[in-house]
Amino acid sequence: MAADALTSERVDVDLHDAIEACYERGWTDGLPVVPPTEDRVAAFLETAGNQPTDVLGVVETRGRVITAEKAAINAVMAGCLPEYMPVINAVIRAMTTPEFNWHGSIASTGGSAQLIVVGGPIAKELGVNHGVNLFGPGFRPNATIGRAVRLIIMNVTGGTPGLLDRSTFGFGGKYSFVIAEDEEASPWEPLHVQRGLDPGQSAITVYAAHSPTQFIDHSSNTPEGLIASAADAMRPTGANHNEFVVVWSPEHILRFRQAGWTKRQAMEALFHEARGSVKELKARARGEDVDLRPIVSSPDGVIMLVGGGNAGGFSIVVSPWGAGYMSQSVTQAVERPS
Amino acid sequence: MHDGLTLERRSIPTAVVCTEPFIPTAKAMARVQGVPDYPFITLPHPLGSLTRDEVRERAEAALPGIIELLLAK
Repeated sequence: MAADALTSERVDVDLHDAIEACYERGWTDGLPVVPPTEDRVAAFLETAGNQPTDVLGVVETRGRVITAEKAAINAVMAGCLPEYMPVINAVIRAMTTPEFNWHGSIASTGGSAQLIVVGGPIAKELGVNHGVNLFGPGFRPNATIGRAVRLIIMNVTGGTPGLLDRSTFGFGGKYSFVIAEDEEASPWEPLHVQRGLDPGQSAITVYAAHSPTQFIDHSSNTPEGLIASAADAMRPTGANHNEFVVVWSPEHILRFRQAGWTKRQAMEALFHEARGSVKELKARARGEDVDLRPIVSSPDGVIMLVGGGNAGGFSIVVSPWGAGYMSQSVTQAVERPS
Repeated sequence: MHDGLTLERRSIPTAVVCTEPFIPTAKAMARVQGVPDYPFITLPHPLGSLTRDEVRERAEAALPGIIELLLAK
């Protein structure tokens, strides 16, 4: 595809000044961006198999259309490789579904980030990290795919802090919050397969997330003990969420494998164990019998993933924005050009 | 703001009320909706923790402005 098919405004600056030019125009998340030159943007569109005018999604509330051209520009700026484009496109498609609620989840004072789980063959091909320092820095796909999504949110749909992003706090995941599942360590089917896609199909799941909470348990050697620890970590986030992500580390998931637990069994167990609420506090204050409510409204809402470094008796729970009702996680197949 | 502009587009007179910290956000939404100068009422923040009497006080103070917006053409 020729670069002259692109319709975005051209800014004529020396390459040397281009990074500063991006800052001056408010196009960055605070870190320097790769200047989106015509050739680079055209190459990204080519790899994605997209025309510049292809529509990836519409954010009606904000009167914004997200075209392949705008997505590619922001992916270049984020430091992506061209082959990440199909993943980014799938995330945008998933986030622009009504059930995800782009506008609400991004504008809210609750301050969600998009936890993106990449599954299937493309995770391995792109080298999306599923291991050590899972939520930390050091891995290009993890660092830049989510960053591209964040820059699209800011630059294409006005999600600028203080304007259409009113997060009281926000957190580091808002720069990028991308993981893969450790499909080898896990005794269970990965999330996209659990949700009905083929194991050979690449897919993403996007979840409007609060900051992750790491919990420690070096002593439990049974699934029951670990379920109790996870439930403790979930309790301070309030009750009756529609969904809740748990990421089991390799050290912890081994106990489930050894005990022969199915994923369904673990989801049901955590649903039953994780109980408590503001209601409980109020009842206690009034000296009434404690009436516990489940922290997640059903076992189906317990989203279990496996990842992280191969040493450390820690796992992670990630509470949902909007209690998981105002935004629901969406799994989307990654479509690749043939 | 989005709700207010949606109602106005259906010819239902509307007065948008928001608390002070949300003024830039309300203006940004009015801008993306193509009505950058849409007038609205502002109240001190926060509302969630007020007593019933305090809510009544705020509402009474805001009422004349709300009526004015509703009757304005």
